[in-house]
Order: sequence, then structure tokens, then C-alpha cells
Amino acid sequence: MATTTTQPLSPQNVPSATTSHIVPKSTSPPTEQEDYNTQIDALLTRYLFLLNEYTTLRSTLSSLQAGMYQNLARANFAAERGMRYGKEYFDERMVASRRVRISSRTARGEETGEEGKGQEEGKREEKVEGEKVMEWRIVKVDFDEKGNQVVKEKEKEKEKATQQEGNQPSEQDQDHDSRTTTNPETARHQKEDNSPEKSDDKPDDDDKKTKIKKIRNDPLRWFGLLTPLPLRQAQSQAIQAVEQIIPRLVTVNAEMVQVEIEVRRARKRREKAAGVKAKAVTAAEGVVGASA
Amino acid sequence: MAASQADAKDRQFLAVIGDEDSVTGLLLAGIGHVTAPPDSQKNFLVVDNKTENATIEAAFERFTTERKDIGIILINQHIADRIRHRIDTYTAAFPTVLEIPSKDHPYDPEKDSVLRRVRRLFGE
Repeated sequence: MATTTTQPLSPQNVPSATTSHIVPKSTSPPTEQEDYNTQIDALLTRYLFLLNEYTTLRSTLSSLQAGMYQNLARANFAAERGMRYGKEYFDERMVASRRVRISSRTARGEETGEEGKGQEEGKREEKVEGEKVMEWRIVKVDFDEKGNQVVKEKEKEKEKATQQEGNQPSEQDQDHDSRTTTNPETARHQKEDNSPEKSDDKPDDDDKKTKIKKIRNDPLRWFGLLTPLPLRQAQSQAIQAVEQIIPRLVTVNAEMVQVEIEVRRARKRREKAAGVKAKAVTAAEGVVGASA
Repeated sequence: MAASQADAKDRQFLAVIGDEDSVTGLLLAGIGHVTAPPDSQKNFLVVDNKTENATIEAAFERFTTERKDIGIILINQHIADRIRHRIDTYTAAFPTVLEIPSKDHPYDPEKDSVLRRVRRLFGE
């Protein structure tokens, strides 16, 4: 098994000084001092990786927003005279379709991908707080006919999971195929859906419903049915910023705050240890002086 | 700890304090929300040249302390400058405040509170 030191460095797999580093009490002061130094170094390394990620995310957000503003300006330029895509068209009864989910889970969870990967999986991030990990995500929320919330992202995750499960056992798939060939109705569904799992009439209906609701809840509709292309492009850039960059930035920021606290604590402990050592030395000198 | 976790669970909205284009763009992403009619509280504030600092401050106060359903506050950096004393003294974990660039004012790292914290940590 490879040790953590051989892995490529990222904010997640930089060794956490708080959990992995135990300061031995019985050792002599110089080694204790070294221990504190290595602990602080590890924390600072982690901090610098986080800072790197933060600045990268910042530049991505800046470019996304610049594109968004440009597209909005284009849409306004091409719009009818006197028309401006702005607050005058906001729906007074708007309902948020993208919402925040703040969750915490225990540390030592799976390490998330690196920054580049974070575009997809970046919504989940870790904040090491002793053993606590904070996680900010933005989820897409839709409503069914009764007005109940339907969280779409979870469905997607489930779908992915089921697809992965479906792909792994090849024998089961073969069995499933053989079964479907015997039943012509289900075979038709298989062709239509291309999904390895259960294929009833219900999923189709659900898809239709969610599609209808999605159209109703789309903020683009505030500005009319036929919205210009730049406005739609601005929307997609805004969605990317809100879904992928902002939750990551917030989480990285929170993690940085946590590491700052850890660094300060470690520095204090080091100072204390140095003070104790100095006192011991002066006391020893005093004893030697008295005996002489 | 348990209380703060329960507190975090209820925080499901993003709030925006920004110029018209920033708010329009972010609302296009579907983060805009107006609460049920008696209150009809919006989770955004459009700031222009005529908007007073007191109004911005009041909105910031409302989103941070009064409302318990806001998880993230997005604020344009140049607007944050107008209430800098409030932003810098705000230390609560929830809702978290994030400064974003605006159309006329690109992101300035010198003003970023995170990067200032970094400098402080490294003893500058």
C-alpha cells in the first residue's frame, strides 16, 4: 500500500496535521519543538494548496461573470427600443429553483478530485474540523403538481449509481436482454430508454411532468417566450457559476478559516513549549550557580 | 454543535446584493426567491447610484441576522466597499459572505478579505 506521501499533492491529500500527527509527551523538548514545526509546516502546505485552488476558482468566476455581463449587454443592445433585461421584468412571485445544501459529515471520507475535476464533482468539498467536514452544494429543485419539492440532483446521482451498477454485472445484463427479447413490450421500452433498470410507464410520465415544470419555473420566461440567444448564454454561464464555482469557493474559504485556526493553535503550543524549555534551562542554570 | 447543524439545514437560499446586471444574471440561474405574500421578502437587492449606504447595510443586516434561511450572500465587491466596516466585522459561519466582481468593477485581490487574511497569517 502506498503511503500518503507518495500520492500527488492536493488540498485533500495533504496530511492533516490535526488527525495524523500525535505529539509525544514523553520526548525531550527539542524533538517536541521539531514536531510542532513539522505540524505547522504540514498545515501551511495544506493552506497554500487551498489558496491556490481559491485563486483558480476566483479567476474562473471572474471570466464566467465577464462572459455573462457581455451576453447581457448584447441582449440589451439587440432588444427592442426601450426594453432592458433587468429588474422591471422580475417575477414578484419567483421561487428559487437552485438552493443551498449545507451538510456535514465525518472526516476521513473519500478524497474528492482535484481542481479540474471539481467542475463536476466540485460541489462537494471537505472542511476538516477535527473530525468534522462541512460541505456546501447547490441543488436543482423542482416542484410537483402539489407544490412539493423534488430535488433533481439526488435523482441524477441515483441514476448514475444505478447505471454504474447496471454496467458492472455483464452476466445479469445478458440475462436481462434475453428476458427482454421474450417480452416485446419491455424490449420496446429498452430501445427507447436505453436504461438497464426497470422500464415501466411511470418514468416516462415523470420525465414529462418535470419537463413541464422546468419550463414554468425557468426565469427566462420573465422576459418573454422567445428570448434572444445571448440571454440564454448569459443564463448558462450564470448557472455554471452558481452550481460549480460559488459552492466550491465558499467551501474552500471555510476550510481555509479552519486551517488558519489550526495554525494559530499550533504556533501557540510551540511558543508554550519554547517557554517551558527556557524556564527549565534558567532553573537548571540557577541550581548550578547555587551549588558552585 | 447540533444547534448549528440544524441552523445550517434551514439555510437554503442564496442572497444577492448587487448592481442590476449582476442580480439579473444570478436570478436567471434560478436563485431568486420571494417569500409568501404577507411578508413577500426578496432575497436580493438591486443597488444603483441612488441607493443609500443605509439601505445596503439594512439589507445586509436582514440577510445575515434576521433571516434564517439564507446560506450564502453574494455581494458585489464595489458595494461591499461601501459597507466595508460591516463586512470585515462579520465573522459568523452562516450565512457565509462572498464578494463577487461586477460589470464595471473587476475583481480586485487587494480588497479580498480572504487574501487579506492570508497576508495576516503569514505575518505581513
